Amino acid sequence: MNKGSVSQILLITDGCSNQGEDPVAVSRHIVSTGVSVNVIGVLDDDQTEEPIGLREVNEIAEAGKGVSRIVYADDLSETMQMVTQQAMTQTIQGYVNQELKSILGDETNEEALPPETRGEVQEVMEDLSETVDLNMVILVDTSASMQTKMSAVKEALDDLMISLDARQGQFMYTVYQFPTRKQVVKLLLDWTDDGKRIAKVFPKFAVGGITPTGSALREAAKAFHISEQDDVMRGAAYDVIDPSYRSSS
Amino acid sequence: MMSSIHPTVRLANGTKINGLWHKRQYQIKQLLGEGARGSTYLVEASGKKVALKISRDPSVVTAEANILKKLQRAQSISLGPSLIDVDDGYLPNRMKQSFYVMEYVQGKPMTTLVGKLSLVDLGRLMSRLLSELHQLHSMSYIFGDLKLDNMIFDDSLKRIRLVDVGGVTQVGRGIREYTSIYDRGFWRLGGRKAEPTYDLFALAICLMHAERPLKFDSNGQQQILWRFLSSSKRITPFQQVIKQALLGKYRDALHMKRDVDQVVQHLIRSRPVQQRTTKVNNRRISERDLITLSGMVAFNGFMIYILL
Ligand SMILES: Nc1ncnc2c1ncn2[C@@H]1O[C@H](COP(=O)(O)OP(=O)(O)O)[C@@H](O)[C@H]1O
Repeated sequence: MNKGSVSQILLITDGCSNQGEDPVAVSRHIVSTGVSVNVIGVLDDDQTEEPIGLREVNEIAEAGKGVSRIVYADDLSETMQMVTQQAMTQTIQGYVNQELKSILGDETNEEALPPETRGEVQEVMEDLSETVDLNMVILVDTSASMQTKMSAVKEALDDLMISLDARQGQFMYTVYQFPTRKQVVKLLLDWTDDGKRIAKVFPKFAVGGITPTGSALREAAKAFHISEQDDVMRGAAYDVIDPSYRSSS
Repeated sequence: MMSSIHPTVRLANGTKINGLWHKRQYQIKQLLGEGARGSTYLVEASGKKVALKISRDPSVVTAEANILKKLQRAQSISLGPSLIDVDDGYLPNRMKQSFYVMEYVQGKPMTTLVGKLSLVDLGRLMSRLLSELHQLHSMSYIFGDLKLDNMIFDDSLKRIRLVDVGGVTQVGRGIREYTSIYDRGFWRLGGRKAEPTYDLFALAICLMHAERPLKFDSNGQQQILWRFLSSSKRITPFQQVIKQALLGKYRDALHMKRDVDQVVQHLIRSRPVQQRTTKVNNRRISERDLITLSGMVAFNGFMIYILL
């Protein structure tokens, strides 16, 4: 099987958007370009239940055929690794099931196969998710309420890099923050494969103001198109494994 | 699909599950444990006790069964439980779910044993485990999620068995299943690429638990480990071994085993004489031994009295 690439956006936020485009609609658009949208909602220490403001987190990820989790800052490291991994597995599962259908007929998916055959399919999927190239846009909400969570977000991203560096497939990422005073999003780190750089560019202070999540998502997603003209990325742009295959769950 | 947040499956004792493909029946006896990847039950099948792992995420079942199959094929000794069956079944709620069935490892959890065993016994168990890890590594697999919770002291085989193979990873790949305090990435003492040193790090953390359970802050500050180690009392003889393993200095499991063995030998040699002989012969001092011993002491005392 051809080695392909998977493209993801990872949005980290703690609240609902209050300006600009509808983030759910934007997310639906983004997945149609072959990019899945994953969202992590960060709770305040004194929030016991999932607040209404964070409900949007799940809706954005669902529209974007991605994975979402709502967690306390302390659990961020574990969660980021899991969300990224699961999102990749889902995309690949969707792709492999699609391939199976084309070979075995319309009604077939992995779960309809006998356990023995399933074991072989599983191995193909594991190989793919280990070796496929991963391109990731990380979009961090730095509005005022995120201030107390910034160091935890930084730690968790740093930890995520340790996991992604260990994979066999190539890994490229870029980091954006929103909102900023003048622009919707600000580029913090351009496409790179060096996981160690994230700790150095990460902002220590939140910026404050409105949270235009939808517009920020749209702007950040453009990074994938810029990258196609980019020399570094040209090699990775072939054979995208499309997340929109995945039947929504 | 697999985005379900809780992969665990709750089943009441007495529930019967019928395998759809292989037609075997299993009756739930007791919950053994549950975690991030599913639930494990003690079940009965044709009068025999076996363990059944079930998960809402079918790929967990398939992946773990795959690993057990591979380990079994290539290993002469059984480090993990042997695989018995892989199937789907309908639950009482009419949902179809995948499960696999494996050997039930009967024994004591190492989480509680680690603080009770003598250092000599602990060292011997670790030495044995290191040989077996070496064998696993030679097959190009890393255990990954090595921790006390996944170790059972097998009562009949008198050695440590590893359960929960969800973290087993081919050498050179990225490790995805791990537990923070046993993970060298968390402590920023190395990466998550699967290589022998990854398991040896986790084993060193296991040894540190013999001092007392390791508590930690949310961010893995290396100093916590070093301070814990240098202020340790019970595990002092293993300090050097642990330190080397934490720093990734052991090239393979056999090198670590060699040092563990040396510590064990040293501990045996520095024991008081009578304790040494009784332990080496691997039997307790019997009452008769004691009578003979006290008789000898009394006789010696008598002789000394006479000579004086
Ligand atoms: N084959 C087995 N025999 C006996 N006990 C087992 C077996 N497999 C698992 N267990 C027990 O069940 C617990 C949970 O195992 P498992 O569900 O595989 O872990 P998790 O879901 O947390 O990764 C283990 O810690 C162990 O004590």
